[in-house]
Amino acid sequence: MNKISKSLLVLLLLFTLGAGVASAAAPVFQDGGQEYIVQADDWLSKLADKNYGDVLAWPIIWEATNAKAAEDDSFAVIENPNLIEVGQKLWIPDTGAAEAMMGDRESKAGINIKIGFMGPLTGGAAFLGQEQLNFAKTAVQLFNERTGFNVQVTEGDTEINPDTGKIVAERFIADDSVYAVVGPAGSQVCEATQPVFEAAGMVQITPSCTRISLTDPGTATFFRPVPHDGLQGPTDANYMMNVLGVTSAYLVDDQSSYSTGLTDEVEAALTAAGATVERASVTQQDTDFSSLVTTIVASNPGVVFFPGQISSQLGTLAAQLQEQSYGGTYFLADGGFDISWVDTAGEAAEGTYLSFFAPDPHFVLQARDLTTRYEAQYGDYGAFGGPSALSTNVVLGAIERCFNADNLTRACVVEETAATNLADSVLGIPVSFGAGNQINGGEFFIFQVQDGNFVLVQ
Amino acid sequence: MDQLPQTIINGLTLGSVYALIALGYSMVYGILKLLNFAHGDVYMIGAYIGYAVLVVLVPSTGPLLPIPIIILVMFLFAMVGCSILGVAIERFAYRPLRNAPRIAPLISALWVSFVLQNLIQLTISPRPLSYGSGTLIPVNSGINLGGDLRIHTARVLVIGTTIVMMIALTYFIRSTKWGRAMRAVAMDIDAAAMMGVDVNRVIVVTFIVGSALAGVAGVLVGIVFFSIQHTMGFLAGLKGFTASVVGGIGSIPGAVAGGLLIGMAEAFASVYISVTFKDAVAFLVLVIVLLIRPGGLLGRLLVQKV
Amino acid sequence: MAILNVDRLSKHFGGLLVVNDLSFELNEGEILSIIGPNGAGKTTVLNLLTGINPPDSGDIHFQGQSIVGLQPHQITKLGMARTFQTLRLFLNMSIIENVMSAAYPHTKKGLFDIIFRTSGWRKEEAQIRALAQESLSFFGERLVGYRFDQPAYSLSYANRRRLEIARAMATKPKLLLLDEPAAGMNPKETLEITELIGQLRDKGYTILFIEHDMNVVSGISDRVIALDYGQKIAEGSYQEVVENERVIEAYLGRKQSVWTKA
Repeated sequence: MNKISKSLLVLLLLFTLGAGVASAAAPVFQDGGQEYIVQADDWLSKLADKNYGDVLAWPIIWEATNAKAAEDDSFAVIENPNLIEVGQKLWIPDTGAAEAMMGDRESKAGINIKIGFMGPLTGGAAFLGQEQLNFAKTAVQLFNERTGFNVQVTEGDTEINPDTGKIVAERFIADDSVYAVVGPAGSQVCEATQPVFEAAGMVQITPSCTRISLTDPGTATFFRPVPHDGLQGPTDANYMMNVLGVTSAYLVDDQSSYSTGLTDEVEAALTAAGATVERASVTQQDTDFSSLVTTIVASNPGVVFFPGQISSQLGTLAAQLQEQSYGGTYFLADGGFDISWVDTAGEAAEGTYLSFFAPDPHFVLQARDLTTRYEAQYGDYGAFGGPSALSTNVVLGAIERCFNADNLTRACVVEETAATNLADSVLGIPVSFGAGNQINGGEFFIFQVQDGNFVLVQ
Repeated sequence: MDQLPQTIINGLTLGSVYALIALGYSMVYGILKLLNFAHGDVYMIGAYIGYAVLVVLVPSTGPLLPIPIIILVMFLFAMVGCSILGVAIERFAYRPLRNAPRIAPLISALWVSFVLQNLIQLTISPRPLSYGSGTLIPVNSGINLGGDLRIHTARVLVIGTTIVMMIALTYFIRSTKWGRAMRAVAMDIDAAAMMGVDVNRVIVVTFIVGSALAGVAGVLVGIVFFSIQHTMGFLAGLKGFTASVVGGIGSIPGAVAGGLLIGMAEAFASVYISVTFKDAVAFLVLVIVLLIRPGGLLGRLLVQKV
Repeated sequence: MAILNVDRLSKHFGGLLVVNDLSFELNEGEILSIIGPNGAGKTTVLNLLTGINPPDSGDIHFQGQSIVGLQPHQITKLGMARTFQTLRLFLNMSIIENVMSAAYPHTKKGLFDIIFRTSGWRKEEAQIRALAQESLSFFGERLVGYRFDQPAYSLSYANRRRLEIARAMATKPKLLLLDEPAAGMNPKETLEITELIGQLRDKGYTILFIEHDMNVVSGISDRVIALDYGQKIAEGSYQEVVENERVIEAYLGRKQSVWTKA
């Protein structure tokens, strides 16, 4: 889609959906203008026509009023520009200020800024990559509406394959208008692309790679706004032993960098605490685990831990464990936070535990604008998209600050990303980066499947 | 030692599925000397057709028909749908390239494979879909074989269906004019044409039969392994291909033997070596068989007189 | 009346003109032989007639109908069948299956009948089998009885040749094309084949055969055509053709060049 039709689309969405956020980015006007009280039969474009002779200038009144409202709460906060009510107090900037604002918006819209998104857009993990991509796009959309920028998302399919990831990385680097990259998913792909972006001096911010070594020691350009396995491993092991009270475990990884890394952590923590541990590896292509289950059932461990990334595999293993009458607990990690495997496994999923690195956006108040817009455009979602939107917002903020400082370069975006300091975010958590550009704080959540739903238990 | 019977059951299930897929590979290779890499995706489509039937016949209010009839309808639709797809693939992706260098239809096959996968990803869902097998066949139903050993009804269905399909196919190939024509075309396409065999129709029939078997395999896998995904065809296709080579590509009983051997090898490797090495063992079986019998277990390396 | 009419047929492969402006006729009930040194284009003529290769130019009429552009199986169905110089039996099939597979063009039942095993289909299968047995019995005891179900590869060379002819007969042809039927046979077998060709004509087949063994040609040909470099260089009775100077030159000249090379 070309730029014009994309901006038209954004405009159209503004009219039809109109769910934009209205917090202000320091607008350029301030002085000249007048107060106005909404009368019956007023709407923003009509007021714009009356004041400026241009129906399309309505966002100026919207933005200016919201900016005023931030300083003076006698002004109305307009969340939906299609809905203004009689009696609301608006601020209508005078023509000069309006022109400056329009000019500012237009000049921002004229700059070619892109964010690269990379992730598995096809293949078995495509549902994850597509969700991340669409959340990133939605975050950009909201950002563009609020600021007047015309940031584009350019996408690259990693097929969750390190080599393909490198090719995508090179493509983004070669495009001068790409200032930051969100992605990829899969620690193995992060590992492969990390040095590529470091060499190019470009921000890479991952919404879902959790292997410890990525930020320890880390690089100057690699950012991780999600907690890593170093926290997850002990959390999981602790929960298994102290809450569930098991003394033996069977650990299964799916040979991905993420899965083996996390399994190592859990294995170390369990072994240190004196549990008996057995271990096996499967591949992400496997569709049948009946033989693995035969082995598991023979040693009858207290818990089966499977940090898989492919949700169909989680369901199949659950069902096959039940088929061969396994009596212990089934424990998953982040990949389990996806309702589709629960559908697959049916009653065999009941009681399963899982640990997850991010809260579910369904339950986060601060994510409501984002999820409303996402749902309208793409339908239902899981929990992988939240961190993607968060990552996108972090780099968009950095890009905006660099632009305002008149220094829009990749180097500046790296600096500004590192300087990120948000008291609140779209996932309801504060965001700042510590050593190795790992997010400060961060915690894991443990859920249990109860009546086919994920219920937070810790 | 008490893992042995369960391991055999696992191997038979897996082997049956591989055998059904291998047959399609083997038949097409026998006739056209073409590695039909889209075959694994035809199998995937079969699984999705079965899923569509499920969605219609088993709404959330409960099944509309008795379960055995639903399963039968799933088979029927998957077989018909896959046959049509197989014929279309042959007509539009392979036939125009019949006289091209052999690499051309191979690339065309890969293309078809990607198109089918991406088509499902875009139109249906990139997420795995659940067959809701529990509703169809309760997970804890089955035949008790004494002690802890139980064979799940779904596995009985897989193995039984495969045996029925094998018998039907063997009869078809051995004792009908289409079977004779297929064998004739496989051995000498020009001579068969000059004995009045309509080669194009024989090829179409081959794709119909092979694709129908793949469709059955797709439905069976959905039922016995609980879920389906648009990428499921790749590895299954690879295993089916391996099985057909192990058995002797072009040989019908060979495809069955190869499928069972690969399935058993995987099951035994998983239990007695490590699940990590099961694929390695499966391909090791391929290497060993080809070292001892280069034509495969039941294949015959015919030296063509020139 | 001419059953086959070949009119100014040409075919080249790459830069090599293999058949050059060839015209001839074949009358019903006739035995016509085409002779010529190796590489004269004899087998190519058969391939053009049977539709394996399309001609570059020229026309072929079979029973008054042009068959250029038809598929091999369509031509076979019209009543033309052939054997091959290098035997091309379906070696892994049994003897009777080889012949039964050639009955395909005269069957009508489809997949539906096979799946549901209709009585019509079973009757048809029985007819095919009877036809095959009849074709095979033409060769006396050699290919019948217990041999029906033996694989074709178990046969001797001479019997393979016979089986190929039986297979061709099962397509119910009017015209039989035999590509060097005596190739690789000993003198006794060659004689037998010669007699056999005569018997085939007596059964009502029209026969076109290709040969370079003059002994076969001399005994039974009604008419002989000699080819060299894809061109007809002589036509007439056996005597006329072998005494033709261009024919002698073609054979001897080719031989000489062989000698000089050696």
